[in-house]
Amino acid sequence: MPALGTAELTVQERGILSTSASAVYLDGFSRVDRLLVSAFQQPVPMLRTRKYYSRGQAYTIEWRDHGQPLPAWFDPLMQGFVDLLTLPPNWDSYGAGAIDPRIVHDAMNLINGLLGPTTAAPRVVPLSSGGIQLEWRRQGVDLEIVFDRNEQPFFYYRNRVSGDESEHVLPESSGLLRTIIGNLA
Amino acid sequence: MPGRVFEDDPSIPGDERLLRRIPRSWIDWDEDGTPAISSAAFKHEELSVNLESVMVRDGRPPADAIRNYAGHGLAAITAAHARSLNQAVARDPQPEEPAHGVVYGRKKSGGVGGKLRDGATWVVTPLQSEIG
Repeated sequence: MPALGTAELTVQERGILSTSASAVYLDGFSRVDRLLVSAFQQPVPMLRTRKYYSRGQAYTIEWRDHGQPLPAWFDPLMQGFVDLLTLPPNWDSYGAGAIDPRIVHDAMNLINGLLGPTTAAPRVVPLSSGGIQLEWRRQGVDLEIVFDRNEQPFFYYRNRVSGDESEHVLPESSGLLRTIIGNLA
Repeated sequence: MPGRVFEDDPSIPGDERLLRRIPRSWIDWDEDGTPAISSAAFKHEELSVNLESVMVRDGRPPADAIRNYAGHGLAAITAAHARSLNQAVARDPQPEEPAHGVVYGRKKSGGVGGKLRDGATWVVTPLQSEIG
C-alpha cells in the first residue's frame, strides 16, 4: 500500500519539503535552545517520516529536523494535502480533473516557510481548475492563498469588520502574508 | 468545455435560484456541526448551476440536482447576486441536464468567489454524519 503514495510524493518533492521544513525548525531550535547547546554539541539533523492515509492510499512524508515537537498545524495541513492527491476524477461532480501534484508541492514548499509554531492550520481545499486553495476564516478575517495552473500564486485578504480587502502576488509579498497569518494565531 | 464565452441572458429573472452541488471537499463544519462553504465552490470561471425554474417546469424538485450524488449538499445563489458581482448568467442545457446553466466570469481574483459564497443559502443541507 505505501508504494501508491510514495510514488506520488517523489524523493525530489520530499527533499524540497525537507529543506524548507528544516529551515523553519532550525530557526526555532536555535532561538529556543541556543543557550542549552554548547558549541561542541551542535545538533545533528535527523531524518523523520510520517505516514498519512487517504482513500485507501498511504503517503509517507520525510524531512530533516532535530526531533523537536511538531507544530499543531503540521498533521492537519499534511493530511489536507494528501487528501487532495487522492481525489477521484470528477470529484466536484462537474467534471473536475485530478489536482496537479506539482501545485501541491509548490504550496507545501511556500506555506511551510510562512507558518509559525502556534499558527492556526489553514483548510486545504481543491479548485475545480486543478489548483488548490489554503484558507482561514478567523476573527472576522478571510485569508485565501491560491495556487493554480499557469498562474502566479497570490493571496486575498478581507477584513469583514473594516471592509478592507487586498490581493497580493507571491512570493513577492511573503513578508506581508507572514504578518497576516501571525495575527490569526 | 473551457474557452466558451457566455453572454448574460436577460430572460433569467433576478430572483431565479441557481443551484450548485457542494461536495465534502468544499465543506467545513464548525464546532456546532454547521456546514460552511468554501469560496472555492464558486471560483470556476464557467460555473455550472441548475436553474430552479427549469427544474420546476419539468416537475423536478430542487433536490433532484443531487439525486445521484450521495453526501453532497445543494446551495443556491440568485441570478441578481451573481450579476451584482459582474457575472453573466446564461442557460446551457445539456442532454443529461436540461436545467444546466452557467455563471460566467472571472472569479478567482478580487474575492468574487467568496462574495458569491456569502450570498449562498442551503437548499439541501448536508449532514456531517452522512458524508463518506
